[in-house]
Amino acid sequence: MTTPLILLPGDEVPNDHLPTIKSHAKSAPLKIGQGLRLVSQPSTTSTPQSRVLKATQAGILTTDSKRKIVSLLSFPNRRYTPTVNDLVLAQVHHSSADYFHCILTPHTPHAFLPQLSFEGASKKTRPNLKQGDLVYARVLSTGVGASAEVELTCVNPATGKAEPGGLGPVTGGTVFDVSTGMAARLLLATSSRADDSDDGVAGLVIISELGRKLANVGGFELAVGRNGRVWVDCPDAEEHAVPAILAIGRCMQLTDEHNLDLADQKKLVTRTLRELKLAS
Amino acid sequence: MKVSEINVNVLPEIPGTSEFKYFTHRLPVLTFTLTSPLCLPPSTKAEMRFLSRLCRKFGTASAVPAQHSLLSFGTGQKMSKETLAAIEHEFILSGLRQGYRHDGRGDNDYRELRVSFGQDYGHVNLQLGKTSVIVRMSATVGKPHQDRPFDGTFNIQMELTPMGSPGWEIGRPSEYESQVLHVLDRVIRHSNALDTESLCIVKGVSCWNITAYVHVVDYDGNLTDAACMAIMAALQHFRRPDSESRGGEAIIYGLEERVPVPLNITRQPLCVSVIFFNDVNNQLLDPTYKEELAADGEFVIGMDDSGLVCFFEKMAGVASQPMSTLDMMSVAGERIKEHNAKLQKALKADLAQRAELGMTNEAKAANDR
Repeated sequence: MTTPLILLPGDEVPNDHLPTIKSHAKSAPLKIGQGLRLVSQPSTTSTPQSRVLKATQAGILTTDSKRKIVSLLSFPNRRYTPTVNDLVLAQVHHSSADYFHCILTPHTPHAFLPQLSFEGASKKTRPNLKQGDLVYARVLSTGVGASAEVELTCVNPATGKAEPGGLGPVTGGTVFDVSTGMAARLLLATSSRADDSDDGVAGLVIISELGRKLANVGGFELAVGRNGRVWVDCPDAEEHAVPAILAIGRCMQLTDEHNLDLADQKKLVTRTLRELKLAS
Repeated sequence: MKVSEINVNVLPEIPGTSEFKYFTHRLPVLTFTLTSPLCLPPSTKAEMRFLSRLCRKFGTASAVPAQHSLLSFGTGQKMSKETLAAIEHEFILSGLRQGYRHDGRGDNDYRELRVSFGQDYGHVNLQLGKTSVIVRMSATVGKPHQDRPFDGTFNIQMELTPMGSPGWEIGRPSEYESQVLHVLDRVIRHSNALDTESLCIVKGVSCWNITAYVHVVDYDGNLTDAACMAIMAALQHFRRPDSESRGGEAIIYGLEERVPVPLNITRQPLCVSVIFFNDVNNQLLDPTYKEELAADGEFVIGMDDSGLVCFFEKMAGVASQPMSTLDMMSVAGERIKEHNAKLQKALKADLAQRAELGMTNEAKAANDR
């Protein structure tokens, strides 16, 4: 493993750290994730080297060479800045004629979720969400300038399907608050399958550990919102549902607060499960 | 008559006397004093009978359901305008039904309490879980109130700023702020914890004005208890400059001239906030922010080490059960004793450290000479 590259806002991403780009243009394009911005686009004639990526936040550069994604893993902080294509857990505040007004983070302006932007929604079949309901949604646009409005969506406009899977209202279980940095790490850990679970993804093993140890109560479901909220449910756990959900929440929050390393995370999982009488 | 609130206050002026205040729509409708106060721990049944007789006598029992004869109140609103996600609220309640709190505490447990002191006298940093409070004391010389020429003054100042929680705004005091201040005022100031007569320098001319400034640095519920503990610790930690009256003139000695004097603390009252829920039979101490949001009602008990109640108030929310409320009194008494012991221990440790530092400084000064 190479040493992590830490970038500060405004720093340029060195080209040798980008996923290898094949010279012929037919290969899949490079995807830019959270915390980076393309400053100058390479024209077709020039070499790919003229592409300039700059960091907009401080963070560690992470690359996924298989899927050709380059993004910035920011540090744990509480403030969430919406970026396009982020998956978020929004809480409905109220609804108006065409929109649900949602809270991404408390005490910030509302985000708008059109009432028809759900899978298969029409004027008659649109979901009836009330205050306090949660929606797993994608940030569609963030707007420009001071009066920027954040728009959310639960469908892919091209296909009309809830893509990626799971977008839409969430029911059951509960949500836990974590830092945005932790949310980003959890997203990495849950979206990419770790071949070797002992190693962990993005410095996290709690999810794979909990997955293995909670298999006897039927496993759990997780939806990570980049706005620092994580939804957890154990639909098959029956009488163990509450302690199992609490165990997951507590492991995530303690790992986040104390910045635990892999060994400590494993200890934490074992200890928490024992405390909640889910394991001997 | 529908009673919305009952206040019990110990009157500092007349020792061993409590004042009962009955409120309807936030207006006091009935006030009477009692010479045998609700001394605690309560002899529950006798106390209850006595109190319910009082209620009947004053015609309050007939207006409210029988099972809520004593501590039944009109339905108030929730304390905060912020809301929890619906599933989060439901999960907190279902956890409580099965006996789980989010952080693994028991119903009557407090979060970890950490107290440390700054370099100056009367500078206290106190953390209760993630709620963090800084208190600083100040002493200035001023004129006493005209109607109380023998008394100095003591004030508590607090402003909730966005530093503590993004929901708080500067210059726009929220209802919550005035509520917390009201409780602190009642518990610490009105119980005469600080003997204001000892602050008089020259009768009617000059006295000490003591102020406690409360800064909320981080907020995760139960600000009242944390602030109360911090102010009490600061009062006991603080040393004011020595003063003297000579021929009707006030003489103030600087900190270098004379050893500064501690304040005269007559008792050490602290408060305990209790939240409760409509359909869950739990009463929780030291609620976190989320638990506060989920709660249906809250009451605050103020008490000193000997179990003398100096404050009891139920601000808003649904009716509470009288028996369990009285049970809570004895629990609160235990907690207050524990907290006072912790504060004393921290104060003693700090004093010892200061004494040691002072000796080494003196030795150093002697060496320099």
